[in-house]
Amino acid sequence: MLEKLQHLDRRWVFLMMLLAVAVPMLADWQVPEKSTLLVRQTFEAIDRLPEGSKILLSWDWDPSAEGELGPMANAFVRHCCQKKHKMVFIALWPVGQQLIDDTIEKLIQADYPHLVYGRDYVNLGFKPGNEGVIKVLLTDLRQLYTTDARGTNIEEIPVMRGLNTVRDFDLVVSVSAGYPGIKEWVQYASAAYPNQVRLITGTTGVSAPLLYPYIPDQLQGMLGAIKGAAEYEQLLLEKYPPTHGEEVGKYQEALRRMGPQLAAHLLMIGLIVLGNILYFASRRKQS
Amino acid sequence: MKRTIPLVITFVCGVVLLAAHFSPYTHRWGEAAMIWFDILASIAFLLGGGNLLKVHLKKVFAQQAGWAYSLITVVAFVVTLWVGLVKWGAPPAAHLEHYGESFAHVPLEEFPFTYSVPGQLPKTAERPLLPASVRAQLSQADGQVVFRGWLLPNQKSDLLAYHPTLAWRCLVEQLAKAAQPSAGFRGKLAYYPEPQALAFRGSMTPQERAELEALSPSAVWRSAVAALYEAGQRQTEVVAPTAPERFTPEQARKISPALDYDPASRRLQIRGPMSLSERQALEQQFPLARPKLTADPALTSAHQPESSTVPLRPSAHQPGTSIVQGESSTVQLGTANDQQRGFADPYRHHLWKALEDQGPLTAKQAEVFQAHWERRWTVEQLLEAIRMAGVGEPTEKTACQMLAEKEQGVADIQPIGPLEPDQTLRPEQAAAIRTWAAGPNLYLEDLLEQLAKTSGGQSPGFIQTALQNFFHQVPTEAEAKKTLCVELLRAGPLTEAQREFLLADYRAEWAWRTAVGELFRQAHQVKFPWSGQYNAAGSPFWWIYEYMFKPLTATMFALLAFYVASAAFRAFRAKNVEAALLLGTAFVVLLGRTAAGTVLTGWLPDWLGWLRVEELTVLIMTIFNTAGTRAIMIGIALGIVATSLKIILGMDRSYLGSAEK
Repeated sequence: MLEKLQHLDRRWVFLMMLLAVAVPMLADWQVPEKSTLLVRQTFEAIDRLPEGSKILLSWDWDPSAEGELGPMANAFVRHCCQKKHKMVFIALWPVGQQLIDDTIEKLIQADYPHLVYGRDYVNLGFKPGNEGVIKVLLTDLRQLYTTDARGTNIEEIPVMRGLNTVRDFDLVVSVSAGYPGIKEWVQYASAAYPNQVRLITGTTGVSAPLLYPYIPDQLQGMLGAIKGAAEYEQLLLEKYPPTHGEEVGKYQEALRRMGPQLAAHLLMIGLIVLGNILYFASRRKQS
Repeated sequence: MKRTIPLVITFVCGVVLLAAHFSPYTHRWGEAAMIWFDILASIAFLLGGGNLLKVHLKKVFAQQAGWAYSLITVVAFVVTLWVGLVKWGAPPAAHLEHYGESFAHVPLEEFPFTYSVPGQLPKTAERPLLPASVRAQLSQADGQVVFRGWLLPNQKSDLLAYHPTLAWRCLVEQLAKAAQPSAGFRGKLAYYPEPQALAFRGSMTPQERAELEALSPSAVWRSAVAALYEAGQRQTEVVAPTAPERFTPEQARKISPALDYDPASRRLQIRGPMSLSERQALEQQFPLARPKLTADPALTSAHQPESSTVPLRPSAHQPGTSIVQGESSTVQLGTANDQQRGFADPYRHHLWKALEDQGPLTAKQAEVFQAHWERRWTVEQLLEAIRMAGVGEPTEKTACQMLAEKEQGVADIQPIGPLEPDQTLRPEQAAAIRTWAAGPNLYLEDLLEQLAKTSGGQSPGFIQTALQNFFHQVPTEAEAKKTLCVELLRAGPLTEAQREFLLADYRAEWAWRTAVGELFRQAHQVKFPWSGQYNAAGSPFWWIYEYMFKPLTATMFALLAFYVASAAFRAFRAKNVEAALLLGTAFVVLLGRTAAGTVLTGWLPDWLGWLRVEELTVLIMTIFNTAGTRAIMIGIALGIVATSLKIILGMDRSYLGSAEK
């Protein structure tokens, strides 16, 4: 038995992981969420701003991180819509532009049709240059963004009035999956103008531990992985229950994913424990 | 020399960037260096693409191991590059296409008409340049402001916003009035300075051509008019698989004289380009959604003042019948609610009965049906919209009027003039609307005809505007039934017959709209083929992104879960104290990232709260993790400084492709 388990075919492990994720997902198993301090701080960073504040949303991710970052991106945008903030979208990643289009089409236009493109929000699209883009945004964003993603002259877009540098925004939100992303925003924007650029982020589980040193001075808030997104969704749904006839499920994606995540984590712990039992048993046998 | 030049460039760039970081006087140098870096990086991308092709094609031709993967890489690279660069299949930008208009090139300097008004261009230190939209067309000569071309509405707005004085704004108003095409061509003819194009809306008649050619002897002008005439004579036609019930050739010509329709062959034709409003009018040839009928308060109170339960139009059906098969205690339609309101809505009852006759429906579907019906428009809403449209609005004074008042010595100049008189809906007009709304097929033109009869001519403008605005938001009956079908399907199953009943009309409507859309597309003369977005919805690039890139990258990332689980089982062993510590930390963080932590240790009293798993997770992340990460970051930073200095000073030359120090 011991021998058999020690040489367990990895496909059995794959099958267990598949079941651990699929069964709770199909059963729509949801677990209660309690928000932590960091998530509450992130929430407050948007919530405390007065109505109509100008927010720069930088979509620095691609579809590979959709599972983790999609729900938090949606939550950030819904929060901004609820608070009637003005939103300016940019992307430091090439496919970020498509993700912004998705957000606008499936979220803003679907659930907040009263918001007008150009007046309440605008998509400036992707610009190559990684941290170079951030540096230009710090001095004169109109140098780089002469038009929006649709080709409209930036001078003719009402929401862009009075916005010349990143410092003119009340808050910068970076949904970040790696390089270039929130680390570059901290190093080039927040570090350069400590009291003038306020930053919050939603990031992947692997990136989050590397960002803790920047909190709270250079980074005012952070959502780490799907857990952070779920807590944020919970706070948002509690404070702003859907009233516009929004499709609620769209804003519970992270909460829904916490069930499969719990099962997967428990499986991992079980596998590690089993692996160690086998290891110590075989060592005893050898000795 | 081959090595010295790169070394010198590296040294100079390094020193400039360092200086730019510390000294504001050298910021511009740093920016210039960064621009050159971007240019070189772009070239590196090209070289990288070339290298990718070279390496993989070599592998494919040599049939080396894994050549099939290389082939897929090459094909994916070339296809994505192609569809992205040439914007294959991407429609042009809608706001630049000027649908319904034909263009002919007329250079600005050759445009034969100039207009002038006495005055001067304002001089402002804040805005030394004229607005970009008029800069090429506006000038000043001999105490006159001269404009070449016809002033467009956006140009007028830009000029009005350019300088705030009444004198300037009045001058702009005078110029806008003067710089227009002759009366017969207003709204048809325009000149766009950016593409330097003379534009004509619709199809030009021979008489219009003669009149336009007579305006100027300029050869460029006459040839442009001839080109516009030719463009307006191009015939386009499509055969529609289905046609609206009441659509006739007369109906087509009413929409536009350039349109023609043959009912026998269902051939729809147009001469010249089609405008968006023509397309919309063609598409809206189907009956509008039937309203939710409510009791007429006037009728109710007039006939039975003590009760509000007089049926306006009593239902022919027996009230009280359960509409849910096998579930007698469920929602009942056309009964209780109607009795409360005092009438029944026969169409609603008919619709439900028809559905019920063709298959079973659940209680949830009955609720969905009820909710759908509650969302339908009502006659009262329509009447209210018309009443609101009739409310008089204040008139806005022109700048010239205010300037005249100022010159007359008026002390308090108000920009708002007297209120327009209110216009009201007469009782016979309201009755006509109610009669129309109770009819079987609701066509807007029928309503306009009935209103015109009651008004003794044409129906008043405010009613027409209100009706058009109101019904712009109302779906057709076929669309409403399709929406109902989707909602019912979400709530439960529908039989084939039920689906067919709800979708048949919409299918016919969709086929007609597709044909109209095709005619619109074929008749349109594309002005700027490359102006659209490469990733527009429906374009090949969009398909690649949506259905290949997105699922493939998400799958790759998701695979991590399986490999991490397998690796944890095989390799995560508590072989020594450090490994055991790491293992314990991993357990705490794994549990702390889920609700399990709360469940396991939530019972701990407050004085032991720090031992709760979620608190321990925060402790680990903010103290131990932060300390470790900071140490690593500082180490990396020192390493970068040391390596950069070595590169700048030429001590490390490995980037030149040599191990030589």
